[in-house]
Amino acid sequence: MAIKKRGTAPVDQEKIEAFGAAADVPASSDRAPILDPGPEPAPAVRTAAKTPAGEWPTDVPKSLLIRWPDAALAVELAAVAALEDRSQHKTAIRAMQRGLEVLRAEHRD
Amino acid sequence: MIILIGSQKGGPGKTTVAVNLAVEYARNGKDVCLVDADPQRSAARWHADREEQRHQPAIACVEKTGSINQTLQDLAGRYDVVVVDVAGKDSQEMRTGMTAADTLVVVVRPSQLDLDTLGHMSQVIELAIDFNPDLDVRGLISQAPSNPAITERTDAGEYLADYPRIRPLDTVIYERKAYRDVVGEGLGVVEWTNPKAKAEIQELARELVA
Repeated sequence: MAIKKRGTAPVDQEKIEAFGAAADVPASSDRAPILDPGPEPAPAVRTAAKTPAGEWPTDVPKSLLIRWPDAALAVELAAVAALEDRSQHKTAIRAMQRGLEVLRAEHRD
Repeated sequence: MIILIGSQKGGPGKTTVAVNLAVEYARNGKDVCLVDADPQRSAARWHADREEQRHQPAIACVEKTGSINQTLQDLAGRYDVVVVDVAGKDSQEMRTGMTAADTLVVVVRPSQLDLDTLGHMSQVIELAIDFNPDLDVRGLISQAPSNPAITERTDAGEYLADYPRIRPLDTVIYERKAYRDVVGEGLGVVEWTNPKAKAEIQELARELVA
């Protein structure tokens, strides 16, 4: 068989990372369903920017266990994740980010 | 040699193809590493079953998600054959795997929904080839009806021909119970009793290194 081992070729790792990361971006924003646009969202609040990369505040837990009040929200999350072809985890994070922006904006009003 | 088994749709049997190729190459005396880059961990579970049953030949298995380019480059220097299983979607693992692989096997069922993903897949392949100009892209029809009266396999071959970057493999994997039987045992069909399934995998393994 024409099988051979090969050495490591030089690669532009940053460009490859960017190419790979693009896989998780939906092809077009109109694929994402907008159930209730609500008020115009405030500029994104990026909590990650408050802490240096790789560091985690000691008083902030790294995970959150959610107990659903009923099945409706869980079903909706699964449906939206399927529409976006994302994992439920990623969809939940995105939904939470958008929701928190809306809630924060309400408190500013 | 790095063989990446990919597709943009779940369910065509990527893991089945990956583990069966790994067994066939290992039986031919090659040092084989199976890379499970799918968060579902199906290949890793198959490998755990194989280890538990102490089946020989032994196959190494690595689980890695996220960017896998450097992992594959490293493994390619240590193993004769690296077989990579990724999730059935346009994922970071599939894209970064394409930038390192020698061969990408695009697995599709002879169904409209599977074949309709080839357009986007071709676009991603074109981008990957910018990083990896030597990437050899092959199309594999899987789960084809074994009934010769059903023409889906021929239709699918014609559909694949519309994408010149994806060279169709002569080998076709047919819908056979043997593939389901062996996977729970940590075995490959080349270690099983169904001669047709065994011949398919042997032919596929030969074709990919020819």
